[in-house]
Amino acid sequence: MSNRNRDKGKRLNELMYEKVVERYWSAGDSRVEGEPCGMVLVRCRRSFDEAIREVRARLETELGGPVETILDPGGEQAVFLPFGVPRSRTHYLALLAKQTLSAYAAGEFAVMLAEAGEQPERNPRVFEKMADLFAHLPDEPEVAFFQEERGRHGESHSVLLVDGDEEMRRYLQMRFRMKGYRVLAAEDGTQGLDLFRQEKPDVVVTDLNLTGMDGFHLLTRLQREDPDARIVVFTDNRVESSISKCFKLGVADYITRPFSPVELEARIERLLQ
Amino acid sequence: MRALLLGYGTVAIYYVMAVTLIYFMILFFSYKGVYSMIKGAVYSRFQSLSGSESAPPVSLLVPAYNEELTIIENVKSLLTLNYHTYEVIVINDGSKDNTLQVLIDAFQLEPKEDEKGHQAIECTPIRQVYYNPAYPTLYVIDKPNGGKADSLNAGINLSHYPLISSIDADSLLEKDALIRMARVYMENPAETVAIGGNVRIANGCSIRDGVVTDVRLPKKLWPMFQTLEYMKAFLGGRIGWSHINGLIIVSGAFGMFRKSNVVEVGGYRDGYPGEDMNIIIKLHRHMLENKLPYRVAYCPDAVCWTQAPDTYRILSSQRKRWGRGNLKNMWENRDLLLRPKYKVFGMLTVPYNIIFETLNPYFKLTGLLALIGYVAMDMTNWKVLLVFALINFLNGYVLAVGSLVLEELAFQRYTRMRDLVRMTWYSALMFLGYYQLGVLWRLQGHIEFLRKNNTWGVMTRQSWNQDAPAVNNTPPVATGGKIA
Amino acid sequence: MDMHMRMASIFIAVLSGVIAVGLAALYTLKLRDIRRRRTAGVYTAKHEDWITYVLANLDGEEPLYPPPGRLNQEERRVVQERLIGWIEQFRGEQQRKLIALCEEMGLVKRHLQRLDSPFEWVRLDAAYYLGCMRSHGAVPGMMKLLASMRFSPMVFIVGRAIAKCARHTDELRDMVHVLLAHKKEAHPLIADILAESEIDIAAMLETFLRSGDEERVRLALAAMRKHSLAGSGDTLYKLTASEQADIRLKASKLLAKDAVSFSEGRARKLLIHPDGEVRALAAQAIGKLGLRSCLEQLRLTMADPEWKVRFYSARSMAMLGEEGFAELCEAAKTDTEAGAEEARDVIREEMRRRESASRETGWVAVRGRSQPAYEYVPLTQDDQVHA
Repeated sequence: MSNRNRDKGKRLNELMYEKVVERYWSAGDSRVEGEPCGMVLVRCRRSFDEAIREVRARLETELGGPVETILDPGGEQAVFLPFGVPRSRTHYLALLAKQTLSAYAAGEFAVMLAEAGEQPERNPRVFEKMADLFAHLPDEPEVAFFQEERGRHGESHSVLLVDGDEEMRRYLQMRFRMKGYRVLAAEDGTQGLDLFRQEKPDVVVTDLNLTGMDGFHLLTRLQREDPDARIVVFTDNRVESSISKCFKLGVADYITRPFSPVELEARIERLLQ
Repeated sequence: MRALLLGYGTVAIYYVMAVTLIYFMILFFSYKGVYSMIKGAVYSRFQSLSGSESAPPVSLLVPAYNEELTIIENVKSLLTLNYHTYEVIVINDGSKDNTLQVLIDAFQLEPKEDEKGHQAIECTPIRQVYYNPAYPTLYVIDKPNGGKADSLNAGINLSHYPLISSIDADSLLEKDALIRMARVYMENPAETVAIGGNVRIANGCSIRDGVVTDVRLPKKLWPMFQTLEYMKAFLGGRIGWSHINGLIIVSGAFGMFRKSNVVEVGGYRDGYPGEDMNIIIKLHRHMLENKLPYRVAYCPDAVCWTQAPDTYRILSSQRKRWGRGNLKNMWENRDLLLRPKYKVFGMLTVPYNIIFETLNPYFKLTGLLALIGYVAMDMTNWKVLLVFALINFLNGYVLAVGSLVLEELAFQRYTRMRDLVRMTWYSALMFLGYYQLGVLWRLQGHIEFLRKNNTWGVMTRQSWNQDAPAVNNTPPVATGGKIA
Repeated sequence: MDMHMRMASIFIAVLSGVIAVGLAALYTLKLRDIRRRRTAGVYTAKHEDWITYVLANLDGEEPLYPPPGRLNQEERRVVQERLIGWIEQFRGEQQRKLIALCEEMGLVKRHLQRLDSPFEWVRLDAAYYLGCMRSHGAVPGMMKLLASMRFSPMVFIVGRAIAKCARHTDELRDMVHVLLAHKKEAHPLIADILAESEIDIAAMLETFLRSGDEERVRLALAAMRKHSLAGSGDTLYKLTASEQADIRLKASKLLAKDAVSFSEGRARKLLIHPDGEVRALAAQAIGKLGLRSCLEQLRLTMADPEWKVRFYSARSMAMLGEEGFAELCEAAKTDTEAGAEEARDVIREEMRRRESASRETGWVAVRGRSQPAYEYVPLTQDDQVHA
C-alpha cells in the first residue's frame, strides 16, 4: 500500500515541480518574482472525482478565478496551486477544502498546507519530501502543515518555553517554530528545570506564575545551573518590584502581557545574536 | 399535662415553620447576592489582574501545630499562587513533632536576625524567624505553644503587608483564590474589613502538585455528609448573610482581613476555639460602635480545599469544639442581642444564632422529651407524628435543594450527573442520624464548656489542637470552625 | 388542633411543591450544563483549525476570514470566547486584526443591538464584550448604562469596558467621575481600569492632581504609581502638606521615587515634616537616592520620637558610604540618645552584610542582604502598613 502510494507520490511531486517551474522560471516574467507559492494538498478516498470538482469550484468562487489543479494519476490525491495568493489566504483555502471534503468523505480524507518557499531555486527535493510526507499522513480531519526544517544543519537555536497556559504554549511554539527555532515546552517549573539541564537551550522564556515551583525560585535555580543562562521573563506580573527583583536575579529581559508577538520575537532574536 | 404537651407540640411546629421562613429569607438573599458576585467574577480577567500593581499585597498566615506530614506540600502550593506580591508566614506553634525541622530542611532555612517585628498585638514572644533568600516569600516563625489565636497574632506582628489572610495548614488554596478575594476588596476598600472564602471538602478529589485537578465527591460517608453540609452553609447561608452585612463568621480555614482593623480590635483572642467567629464579632462591634461604614464580605469563588475528618472520633471532637466556641462567643457577646445600635448584626444575626444555632439542641431535646411524653400518655396520634416528622424533613430538604441549585447555577464544580444524584440522595439521608448526631455533639460541646468554664485561665496556653490528641501519625484534624 | 393540623398540611404541601420545582430545576440545569459542555467541546474541536489559521496569520496586511460556513448560536459563542481570550493577550497590530475579525463576523453589531436591551443583564453582557472588542461606537450606550447602575461590582466591569473603547479623554473623564461618585475609595482599581486605555491620560491626570478635589487627587496619585508624570514635582510637594494623611504619604512616596523631584531642599523639609510616616519615608529615600548632603540632618533625625524614622535614618546613613557609617557608629556610642538602639541594630546588620559579601555563599541572593525585610516593599508600594 505504502509502496504504491510512494510511486504515485513521486509522480505527483514531479507534476507539482513542473508546474512551479513553468510558472516561475520558464515564463521569465519578473512580475511573479517573489510571489508567494502556497499549495493545498488533498487526499480523498471516496468519490474522489466529484469531491475534487467540488473543492475546486469552491476555491475558484472564493478567489474569483481559476485555480491551478494537479490530479494524481493514482486517483486519490490532488494538489491546488493558488499562485500569487498570499499565505494566509491559502491557509484559509485549505480550511475551505477541508470543509467540503468532510461533507463527501468524512473521516477518509487528509489536507496538507505547504509552501514552495521563496528562494529563487525551488528545490525538487523539497517537493519529493513534501509528497512523501503527505502520502504517509494518516487520514485526519485537521489540516496538516508542511514546513521545511531549516534547523537541521546545526544553525538553529533552541528556546525553552515554560508556561502553565496550554493555549499560550501552543501558540508560542507555533510561532517560534515558524521562526526556525527548536522549541522545548514545559508546563511547570520542575519540568522546565529538567529540560534546561538536559537540553541546555539557548534562551529560556518563562512565566513567573507557575505550578509546583514559583517563578522566582525557578529563576534562582536556573541561575545556579548556569550563571550565563539567557532568560526572558514573559508574564502578567507588571509590578515594578517584581521586575527589579527579576533583573537582580540576572534575567536578560522582561516582557509583560498583553504583548506584541513581533516584539517578543525581536527581543529573543536580539538575545541570540 | 396533656394540655401542656399539646401546646408544646403546636409551638414546636410554629418554631419549625419560623426557622424555615428565616432560612428561606437567607436563601433568597443568597440568590440575590450571588448574581453580582458571579457575574463580577466571570467578567474579570484574573490572570491579568493578578499582575496589576493595583492589587494590594497580602500576607498569608499559616499557623501550624503538629503538621509535619502535610506542611511541606501545603507551603509549596501556597508559594505558587497566582498573585503578584504576597508572603507566606508559617507559624510553628510549639509543635511536639518535627514540623519546624522539616520546614528548615525542605527550604534550607536559616535564622533571620534582623527581623524583629514590632509588637502591634500582644502575643507569646517568638523564638526565632527563619528565612531563605532563595524562597523570598517564605517566613517561618518558631514560637512556644500558645494556641491558634496567639500564633495568628505573632504572624500579624511579623507581616509586612496591609492585608492578612489566615489559612489552615491542612488546606489548599486554588491558584486564583487570592486574586479573586483581592478583587472583592479592591472594589470597595473603604468599607471592606473582612472577606470570607468558600471552603470545600477535598476528600475524594485528585490532587497533583498541591492543586485539585479532578473534583469528585468523597467516597466515605462522613466526608460526604460534610460536603453537603458545607455547601449548604457556605452557599445557602453565607452568601445571603453577607448580602445583608450580617455575616457572623469568616472561616478560619480561609479568610482575608484588613490588618489595621484587626490590630485595632486587639488581634485574635487567645485560648479557646471559635477565634474565627470571635474576630468577626469584634470587628462588627468595633465598626458599629464607632459608627464607621463597613462590610464583612464573602467571596464564594475564592475556594479553599480542606481535608474533612473521616472518622467518627475526630469529627465528633471537631463539632464539640465548635459547639463550645459558639456558646462561648454568644455568651460573651450577649449584650449585642436586639440592640438597635448594632443594626442587622444585633437585630438579626445574633438572635438568629442564639435561637437557631446555640439553643437548637435544647429545642430538639425538649421535642424528644415531649415525644416520649406523648407515647407515655398514649397521645400518639400517628398523624401528628407524621406531620411533625414530615415538616422537619421537608424544611431541611428544601434548603438542601436550594443550595444545590445555587451550586449548579453559579459554580458547577461537580460536573457529573452521578454526583448530582448522589448529592440529592445523601441530602435526604442526612436526616436519618447525621443531623441528630450534630445536635448531640453540640450539646456535648456545651457540657464541656460548662465544665471547663472556671478553669479557662489554664486553658489559654493549650494548643488549639488539643481536642484531637494526636495518635502518632494521624493527620491532624481540621482546626477552627469552618462552619458556624 | 384541627386548625393547626390544617395549617401544617398546607405547609407540607407548599414545601413539597417547592422541593419538586427545585429538583426539576436542578436536574434541568444539570442536563443543560452537561449538554452545553459537550457541544462546546465538539465546537471547539471543530474550529480548532480555524483558530490555528487565525493565530498563524496574525502578522501582515492580509485580512482574516470568519470560519467557513454558517455558525449556530452556540458555535458563535465558543468561537467568540476564544477570540476574546486572544484579543486580551495581544497588543497592537495583532489585537487590531482580531478586533477587525470580530467586526467582520458581525459580533460587534450584534452586541451593539443587545446594548439596547430592556434587561440590564443583557446590557452588561453586551458591554463586556463590546469592551473587549474595543468598539468606540458603544461608548455612549455604555455610559448610559453605567450612569443608571447602582453600586455593585458590575460598575467596574462597565467602567473597564468604557476605558477600553474610549478614544477621547472626555469619555474617560466622564466614566471616572461616575465611578468616583460611588465613594468607595476604589482608586487603585480605577487606576488599573484607566491603564487599559490606549489614549494618553497624562494631561487628564495632571488636571486631577491639581484639581484640589480629594477623590480626584487620590485617583491621580494611584495612577501615577504606574504612569509617572514629568514635571509634577511641584504639585506633589504641595500635596505633602495635605490635610489627608493618605494623600500626604502617597504624594511623598511618589516624590521620593526619583532624584529629580526629590531635591535636597525638599528632602530636608520632609525630614522635619509633622507626620512621622512622611519623615520615615524621607529618611529612607535619602539613603536610596544617595543624597550625601543630607547626612547632617539624618544625624538629627536619629533622635526622632518615632522608631521608624530613627530606623530608616540609621539605615540610610549606612548606605551613604564610609562617612555615613562612621556617623552611625558615633550615634551608636552615645547611648543616651533614643536612636542608639536602632543604630546598633543597623551596624550589626551592615557588618553581617559585609561579612557575607566577602564570603562565597551558595545562594544567589534574591534580594541583596543589605535589604532586610523592612525594605521588602519598595518605595512605590502604596498602602504598606508596617506592624
